[in-house]
Amino acid sequence: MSAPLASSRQLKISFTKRLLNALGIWCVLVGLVMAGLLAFPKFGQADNLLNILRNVTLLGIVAIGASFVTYGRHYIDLSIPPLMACVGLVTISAQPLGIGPSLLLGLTAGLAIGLLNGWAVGYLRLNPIIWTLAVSFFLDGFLRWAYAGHQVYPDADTTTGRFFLDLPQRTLPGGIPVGTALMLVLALAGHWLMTLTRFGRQLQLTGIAYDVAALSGVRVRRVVLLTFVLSAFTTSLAGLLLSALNRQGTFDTGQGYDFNAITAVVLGGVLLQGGRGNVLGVLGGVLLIGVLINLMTLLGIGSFGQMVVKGLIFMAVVGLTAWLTRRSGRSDE
Amino acid sequence: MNSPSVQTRLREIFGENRIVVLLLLIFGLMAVIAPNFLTTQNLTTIMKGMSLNLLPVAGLTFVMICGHIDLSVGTSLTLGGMLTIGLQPVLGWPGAMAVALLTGLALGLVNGLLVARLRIDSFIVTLGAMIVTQGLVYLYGRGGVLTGRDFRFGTWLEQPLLPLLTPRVILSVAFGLMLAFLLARTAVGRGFFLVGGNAAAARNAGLPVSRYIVGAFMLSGGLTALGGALFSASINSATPTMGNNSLMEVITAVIIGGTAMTGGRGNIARNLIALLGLSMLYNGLELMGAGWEARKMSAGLVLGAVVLYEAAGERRLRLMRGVRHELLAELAQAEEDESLPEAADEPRRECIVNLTVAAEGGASDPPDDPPTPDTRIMKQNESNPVVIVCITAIACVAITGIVAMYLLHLRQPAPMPIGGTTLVGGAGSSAITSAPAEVDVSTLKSADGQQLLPPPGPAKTIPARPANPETLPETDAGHWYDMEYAGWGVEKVNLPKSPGDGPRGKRVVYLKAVDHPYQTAMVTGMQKVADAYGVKLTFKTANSDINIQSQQVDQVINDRPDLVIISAVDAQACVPLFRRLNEAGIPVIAINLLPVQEAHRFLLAWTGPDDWGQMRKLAREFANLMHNEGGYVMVQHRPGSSPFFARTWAAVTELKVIAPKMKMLVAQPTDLESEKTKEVVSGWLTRFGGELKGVFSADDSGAQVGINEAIKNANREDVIRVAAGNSKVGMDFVQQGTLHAITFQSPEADGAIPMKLAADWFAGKKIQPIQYLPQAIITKGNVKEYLPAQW
Repeated sequence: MSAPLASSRQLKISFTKRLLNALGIWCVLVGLVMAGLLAFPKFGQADNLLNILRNVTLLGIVAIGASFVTYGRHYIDLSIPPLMACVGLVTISAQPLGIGPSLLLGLTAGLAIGLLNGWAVGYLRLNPIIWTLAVSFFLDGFLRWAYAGHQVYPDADTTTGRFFLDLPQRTLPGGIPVGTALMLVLALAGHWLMTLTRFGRQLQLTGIAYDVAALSGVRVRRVVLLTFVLSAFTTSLAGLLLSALNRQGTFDTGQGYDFNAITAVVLGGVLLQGGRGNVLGVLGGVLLIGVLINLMTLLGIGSFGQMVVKGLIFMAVVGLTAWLTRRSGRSDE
Repeated sequence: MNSPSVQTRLREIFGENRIVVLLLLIFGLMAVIAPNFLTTQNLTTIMKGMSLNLLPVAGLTFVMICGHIDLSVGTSLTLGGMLTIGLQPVLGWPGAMAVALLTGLALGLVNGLLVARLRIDSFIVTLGAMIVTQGLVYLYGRGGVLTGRDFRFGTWLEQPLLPLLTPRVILSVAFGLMLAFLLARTAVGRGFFLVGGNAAAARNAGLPVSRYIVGAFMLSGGLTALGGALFSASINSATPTMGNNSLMEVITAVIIGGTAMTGGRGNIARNLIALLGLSMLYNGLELMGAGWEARKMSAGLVLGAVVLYEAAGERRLRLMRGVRHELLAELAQAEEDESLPEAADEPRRECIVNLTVAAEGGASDPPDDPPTPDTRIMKQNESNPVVIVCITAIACVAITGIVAMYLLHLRQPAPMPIGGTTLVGGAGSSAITSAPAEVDVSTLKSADGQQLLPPPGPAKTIPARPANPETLPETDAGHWYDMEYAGWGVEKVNLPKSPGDGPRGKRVVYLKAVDHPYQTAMVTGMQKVADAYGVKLTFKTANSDINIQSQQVDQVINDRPDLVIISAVDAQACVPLFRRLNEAGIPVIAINLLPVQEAHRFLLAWTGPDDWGQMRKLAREFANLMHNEGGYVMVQHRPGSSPFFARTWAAVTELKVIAPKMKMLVAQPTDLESEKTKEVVSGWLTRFGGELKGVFSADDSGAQVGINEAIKNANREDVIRVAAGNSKVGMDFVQQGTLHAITFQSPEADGAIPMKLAADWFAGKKIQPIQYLPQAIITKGNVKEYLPAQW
């Protein structure tokens, strides 16, 4: 094999491409921020920028986990909304047990569903979209049935309830909200996990070429399982925070987070074909959405117009990325 | 030698037609266990219900066979419906439908070109298209519902011409069968399979691959829009969210029908059978009294079972590939059996020889040794603790579920005595045993300690109708006259006669609009009164889907209860439903959502909150708090709903009169979600700065959470906040002082009053055609009286 030559050439291309890929969305973001600064003096105020960060926190947390599923070429976890609802409901109804056990139970419920998804998709090789759609249907119906259409409230008179309700309001020294800090930490950890660890490499290979990965000794099934567990993990965290923010748990918490998350993930440069992109890019995608909505609100565009603009920008950015990628010969899709 | 082949044959037949088997299974099961399932009317209901999604299913099949997906199915259905109703007055039905169809085709063309020419993943293209079309639909309808004036066409579309077949069903089915034929039996149809199965081979074979893909998307877009157009014509109105349930239903049917997501496999006829099977399943479940949750769970189970079954089949195939020598032995055996190799057998023998050679050359393997790639993967599978993982996962879910249920059980108050089934009611309450006329319901209390059945509030003063409300500006109260004062001065038609023998033992069906905690509390209130009177109450949920509510009305007509209470999904689209019930001679009481004027003709009565009145009241309190000046912003209700208008314009028009110095800066709907509201309101706080002095919100729960967060983050605690109430979250805020005023609106009374009216009507008493809930404003001063919250 003439491996050395081929691989070094490959590496060089992929390095520059990867850099561009990672920076691509950040370039768009910086451009948009510049435009915003020029157009609106108020846009650049520290308060406004912090608000944008705050507003995309939950979406960001969900998208970070979801990006692993997409990276492993399993498109999207459609069970995200009922999973968030489930975590919120379980956590709040378990609060008489104390804060530790209730949070633990909530996360366990979320992880169990993630494990189930991962097992079905990874080990049984079921189609991820169909399987997670089925889980989503069932879980949604189950939650409605189990709670008989009622919502549950944390009891603000107990320390547990107060702690839970205060979660979204807490700030670290320096004024950064806990949720936002969590998102940033998760993004860095996720980036490290996806690009710098053995698991990340194995996942990349699995995403690009499943059979090749399987033949070269990657335990593909386990890798795929882990992606769904990771997705469920961050989704559960977001579900906890969202329920605390809403001050209640209901069966319809988290609606729309599935497609919003995949929008952010794809905008962030993770291709649906698997194995390309990274978590920092996803963070960029999430921030881009936040900045875009903020600017449109400042411009006075109504929410219907915002939907149209958001959809068009999404298609334009992602289409351009796909086109550039194909032109550079890195993709034959 | 014969038995395995028979077995294989059987398996093949079953595999090919498993969807038919499934359909028959569901049909048989439901015919046995669901009451009234096997009646002509009910089967007609099923056919009508499935014909909405029939054309989209056919369209999506083409796309999926090409190996793509179309997520814009739901919104292009809405687009078709909205355009049809919107353009009908100008172009007439055929013209409007043609425009809808063309728009659908154009949308498909754009999708298809982006996918085929620019080679962007169809998932992304259609996801973007979904967002864009939803925005366009909202813009087109200005967030509202569109209604037609011409009922004749819609009525004709829904009248059965033959048993089971209404014109709409006939049209849809005919289209579906034509498309099925096109796909399965023509050369063009075959092309789709080749394109989806192996695009490179298709290209090499000279097929214009991208044209096929564009064609598939155009079919999908056009058919979906046409389906929406037909449906909205039949109910003579279109809501901007009418297609939202369809996307997942359509995908489910297509997948259960055996279409491969990877492309190259699928069959329209089978997908339609799957759709029919699902409709029967849902219908049967509803007839048995199960709600939306059962529907969702059963859909999940069926979908899960199908995908598991497919995976099992694939696994079997893979196993077969690994053990080729057994097949060879079988073939050899067959050859020995056939004594004389005739001329015709020549090619076959050659083939066998080749196979043998290949097997010996390529894999001259002793049975167990160097495993082929596939078997190695299988091995890996077996060495892993699959079973353990599986059991752990399920156990975790089960345990957490059980714990949660148990805790929930602890939290809930003791269940109230249920005397629902009339015959054994006496034990609990003395009221039931006494004569119906003496039942005293005035002592009943709702969960917040308020009287469940308050005396009726002061009558609303009805001003004269302006000559042409539409010509007045939106900021003039007259513009909204027809919405605000609907139901007054209506001539009732064909009202059924009261039986006059009291409510005891009567059957009442309540058609809920949606599963929502407010509605849950309404049912609680309704049930309390029903128990007191010994009325048997059952309910069904439409989950905000007018198609489903329409089917439920048909079911109710077949079932013939003594009275129907209905909270309409939509103020305008409910008119034909009420008329059908009226024509069937079933008394109807509408509640909660105030329907349009036309609808009141068919109703015994309407009860519910006077949304306009209480928003005016709230606006006066708001002006007070704001000292009659300053800029304010409005967080609106969901577009397409009637509070979207009432909870915006009642306040705007009122404030314009009483506090002209107050200025509405901007109004926007935020889906009542905390995250989205926070995002929007913090943008406003930046944009308007100190100019923004107050926030008027259509919801004191999710939306108010977002408003309060945004205000807190911006350090603007001086902003005055009022909201339509009254949820627990809102009351907590009022106690904290972060929300200054909310309206009082008791959901339990909202449910209880109509039941009281029904009881009065059964007893032959005269009832008011319109009864509003009592109104009050809750502020920090009086919030204690209204605790604990009802929902």
